[in-house]
Amino acid sequence: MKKQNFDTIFCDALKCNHCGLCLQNCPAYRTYKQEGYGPRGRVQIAAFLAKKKLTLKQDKNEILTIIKTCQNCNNCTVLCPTGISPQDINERLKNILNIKEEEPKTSLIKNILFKIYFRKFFTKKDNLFLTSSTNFKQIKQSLEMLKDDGFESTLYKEIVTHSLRKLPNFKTYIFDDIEIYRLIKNAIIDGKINLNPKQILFITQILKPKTVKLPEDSLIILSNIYLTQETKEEERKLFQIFKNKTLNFINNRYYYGPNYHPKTVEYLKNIPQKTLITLSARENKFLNKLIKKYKIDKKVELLANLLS
Amino acid sequence: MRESKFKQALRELKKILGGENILTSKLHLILNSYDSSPIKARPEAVLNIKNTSQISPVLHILNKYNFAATVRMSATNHDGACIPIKGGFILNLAALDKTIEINTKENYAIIESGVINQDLQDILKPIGFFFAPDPASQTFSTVGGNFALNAGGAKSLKYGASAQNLLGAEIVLADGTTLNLKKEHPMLHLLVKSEGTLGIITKLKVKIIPLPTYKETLIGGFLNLKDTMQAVQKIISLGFLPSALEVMDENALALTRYKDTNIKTLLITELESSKKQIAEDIKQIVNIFKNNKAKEIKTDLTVEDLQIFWNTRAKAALALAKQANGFMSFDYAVERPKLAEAIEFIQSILKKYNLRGTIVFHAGDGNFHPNIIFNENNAYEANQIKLAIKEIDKFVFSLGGTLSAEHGIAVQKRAAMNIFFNQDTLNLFRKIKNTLDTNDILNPQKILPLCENKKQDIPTWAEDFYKQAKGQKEFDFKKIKALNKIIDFDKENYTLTVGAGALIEDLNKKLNPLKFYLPTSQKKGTLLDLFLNGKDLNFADFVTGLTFVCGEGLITVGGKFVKNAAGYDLIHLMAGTQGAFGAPFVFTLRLFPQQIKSQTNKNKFEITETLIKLKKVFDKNNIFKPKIFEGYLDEETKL
Repeated sequence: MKKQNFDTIFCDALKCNHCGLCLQNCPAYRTYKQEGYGPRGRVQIAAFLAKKKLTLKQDKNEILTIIKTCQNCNNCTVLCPTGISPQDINERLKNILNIKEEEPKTSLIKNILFKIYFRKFFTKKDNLFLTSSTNFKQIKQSLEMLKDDGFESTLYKEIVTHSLRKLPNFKTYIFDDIEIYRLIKNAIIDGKINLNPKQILFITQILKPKTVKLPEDSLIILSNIYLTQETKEEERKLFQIFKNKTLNFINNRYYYGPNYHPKTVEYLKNIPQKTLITLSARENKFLNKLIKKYKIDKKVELLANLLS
Repeated sequence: MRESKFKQALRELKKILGGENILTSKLHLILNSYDSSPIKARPEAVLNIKNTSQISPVLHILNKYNFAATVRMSATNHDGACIPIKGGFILNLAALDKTIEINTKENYAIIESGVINQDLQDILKPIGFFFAPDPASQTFSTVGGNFALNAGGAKSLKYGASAQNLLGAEIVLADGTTLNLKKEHPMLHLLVKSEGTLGIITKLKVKIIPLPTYKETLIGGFLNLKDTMQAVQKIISLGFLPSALEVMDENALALTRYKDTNIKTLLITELESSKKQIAEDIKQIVNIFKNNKAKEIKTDLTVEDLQIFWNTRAKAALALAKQANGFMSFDYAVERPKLAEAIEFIQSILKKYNLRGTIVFHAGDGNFHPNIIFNENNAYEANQIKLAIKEIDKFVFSLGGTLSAEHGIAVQKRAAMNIFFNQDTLNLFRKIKNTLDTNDILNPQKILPLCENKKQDIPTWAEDFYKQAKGQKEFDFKKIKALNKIIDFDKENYTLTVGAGALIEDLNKKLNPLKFYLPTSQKKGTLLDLFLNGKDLNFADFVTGLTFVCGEGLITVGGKFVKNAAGYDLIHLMAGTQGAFGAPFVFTLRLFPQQIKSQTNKNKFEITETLIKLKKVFDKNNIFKPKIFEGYLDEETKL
């Protein structure tokens, strides 16, 4: 490993005033509940490296396990009051330690839970989704894929400060690129754009779980449509994290993917719960077909419809 | 020697927690060396607690080997309360985040101490309830931390700070004893609000409140701070209890559309009650605004309008945080009428020492936050802050204010305790700490100042009582009846300072025609009886200041302010022990614009081993109400 000047690489980490605001929506911190696994901990690792209070020789392995847990959701960057990006600092730590991973930025959109909130979001016409040109094709494809589940969306391309002024009036603007999001947010705080900071959202902010009232005696069916053998490692990880998030508010009653299982019908007949709740519309259709065909006495509901 | 003890302790802890939950690597130690304050210190090991039942055996081991135990959850406090100054062990309780029970019939929730405040709110909202304490750090601080430091928030004027929402707790003492304390237990408030220096909170029983049916907000724009504060004063003195009464100052308004207008301060009033009542209230408040020279009054605010106003406050904080890496927030409180004076003084001090910062304040309860930013590497700036804070401390004390309203003392403010408390009181605090935590392992070196520099004067009227309390004969409570005069009746601040011998009937005769009511529905006897007989469960919640004698001398705690988080809570302890711990002379009470309902309690308190230990601190000769502890104080008797 080459000698590196950490105080220049991590100069922004020194800006952190360790307030802890970033901890609240970090999926990794919420899972591990330890300082190191939250954004504040990651930034402080960088800061201590810059101040030469930590060395990579001594603590390499432990730093490695910590920084690998970041889910790249960028919630921390959205929240940080000092304007630094903990996620970006974590990326730099990864680079220094030679971890090569593809960033699963756009795969977020395929995520099941994301779809639920997304769907609810787009039924309101006063919201606008803004995307950078690099992601445009992928996002458009993904959105078309989601048309199955009843999504309709307006997509805007290539947004920078000056063009935001010309945009039609919307209640909220959603961004999928954290850099552009930060640019706009800074411009608002500096008074260059006349918008409320809460009017602009980063895509992960609409993922925040809300409370769902489930019918009593019901069972959640977690889809495995997006979890086939070809699924990338990163997407699997994401799926895992958001599954944990879901389980937090559904009391652990779930069955893992019935779709292509040969014993599905038998299983459906034997479970005690009367209501089955699915996360995707496609699965909903599939289960409804099965129930009609084999005359199983169960009800199937879409989780999105139950969201209060 | 110490090293071998440390290794032995680790070996024993491993059996309880498992090896993977004990962190001793340099990385993890350094990651647990900071919180939201500028203070830093490294622990020797970090213990991840996964289960409330693990805390008692862990403390037992740490006590045996004499290692410090400092609790850490979200680590978001401003005064270094979770910094392990003396080294030792960090107990990470963040994983204790289960909601155990929510009871909407009797309006309480039982939770573990690591539950995040916002998470609790999210659970309660869909079922039509909320939890009143709402500190600014609501979204990321834990309920356990809120209670340990008696955090408040915008709503505390109406619903009280954390302490008023406490119904019970499970606490582990330094030697590993687990105590299950109900609301009527005298030690509940003392232990819970001790910032983790007397015990560790594992579970809490908290009050939950039904969501208000109707809510309305109105906004007034004023030309200067004085007019605004006069309007606030008037709103409170007419008996309104708004759920929020917030002021936005010039710095915050510079970020809104008021930027280039002559409006310098904005008063935001939020009312909660029935629809009919609110319409009337709004008319009156609009009149108050007009009478105090408000330039702009808005009542029909849309949801978006409101969001913009609340957001600007957040925006102001964001703009401030961007400028430097050091951030200090203080939390003084003074009586409401003196708030404008205090704020003007602090603004001048900030200018004098050339410091960057803003002052945010909750106008309703007299609590204000000077937020100061600085560069962590700049030693000169740090020194300037120290000098400025010293001046502010002295000034706030001269106004009769409190050092801390909702952040606690911890490390940052412990030296200033010498200014705000007299020598006897500090000695008593120290003795309480030494008795309940003989090896000084729980959050050591916090709250109490390390050195003393003050002599205490005893006022002439108290000399006789002081001599009696130091003597051997039974204390004569009857003599207190002569102390029945009203010392201070502050109509604007809604407080009453009165001698303990005053008759409730007499007070009611004087107060009720003026539409002021005592915080109790009991009608007979003296205040002293009411305070000591324990019949009114909530009365002690509304005693904001207390002067009493005990074996240790003349003790004064609290004052004329609604929120207080400085020092140990002796008021509830004195009330709960029914006179066995000392004799109260002077009460400062909160008054109310309407009669309130009291909760009655007939139970006598239970005498436990810990309480006997405390009794020996307060009254070793057993001269205060000797019958209560008769037979319990001999060395041989054990429970």
